Amino acid sequence: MKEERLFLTSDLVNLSKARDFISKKAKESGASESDITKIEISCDEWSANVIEHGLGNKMDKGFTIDCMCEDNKFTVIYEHPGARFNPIDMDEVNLGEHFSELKERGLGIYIMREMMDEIHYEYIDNKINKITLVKNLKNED
Amino acid sequence: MEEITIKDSLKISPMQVGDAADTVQLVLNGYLDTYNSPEFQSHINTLINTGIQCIIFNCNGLNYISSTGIGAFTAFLKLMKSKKGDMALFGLQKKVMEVFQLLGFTKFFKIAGDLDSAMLLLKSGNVFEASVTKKESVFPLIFQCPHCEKKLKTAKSGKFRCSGCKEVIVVDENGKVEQA
Repeated sequence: MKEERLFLTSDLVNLSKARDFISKKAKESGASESDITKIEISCDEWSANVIEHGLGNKMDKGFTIDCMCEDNKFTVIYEHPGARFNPIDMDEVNLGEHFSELKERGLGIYIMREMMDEIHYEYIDNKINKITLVKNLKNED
Repeated sequence: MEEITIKDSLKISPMQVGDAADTVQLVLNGYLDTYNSPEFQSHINTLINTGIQCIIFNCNGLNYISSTGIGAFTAFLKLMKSKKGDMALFGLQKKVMEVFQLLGFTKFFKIAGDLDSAMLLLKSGNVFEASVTKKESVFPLIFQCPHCEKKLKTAKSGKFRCSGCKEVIVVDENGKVEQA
């Protein structure tokens, strides 16, 4: 699969465009249905975080998504400008507490950690947030 | 409630269920994510506050759900319970079911293969109380085969062979269903 980039403005309406792009690229890379679902929901959580919190729903701003696949490693890279915004720094979710209280939000980062095999964060030149999400593809379908 | 389309992304079509005036089936078509969940939640909350006691969500046409979408269903469940009502979902597409399973939410919701099974579940025990309050079993469990989507029922956890496609399925003690 050749590497491809998508630019989207910071608007929640674009979540479906991000999902469609990433799931199409994952499928082209030979990912199983199960892996595509995991990649899609993980990336959807990060797209929503970038738009709502990283860029503050400001439509004059935007973010890029790059997809690539090499040696059965499907990689998605997000970049957006702004203040440091590192999901790896965020607190671990207490699932027991989450379920016992039936909380309605707050599982996004947990999902990314659980569904993807690697998450890396870089803050480039003190202005660009770069998140790399990696899924090791399994041939189960 | 009349048929409504939320943000050009999710159509909600209400349908009466038999003669029951306090029960409604809501047919969902589209997707449910962070973009449209707040509005979806607002519409359904309004409906619940009109006195509806039971809601059955027909999810045959729901092609994607995010954790925010599941959060909306969680909110409905809590609101329905506070009003002594109940809710069920049926016809979840494989991908949507997988999100519920991956996040461990199958044990909190009454999830069935079709409308009749959903209605039976509503008449049965309380999944919410069994799972959250009393920490009791979610069984008997009605679920869809993760391989062929055939509707199946089991009284206990374990490894089973689907009566339809003959593939092996694992059901854990929390009711989570997976391919073996």
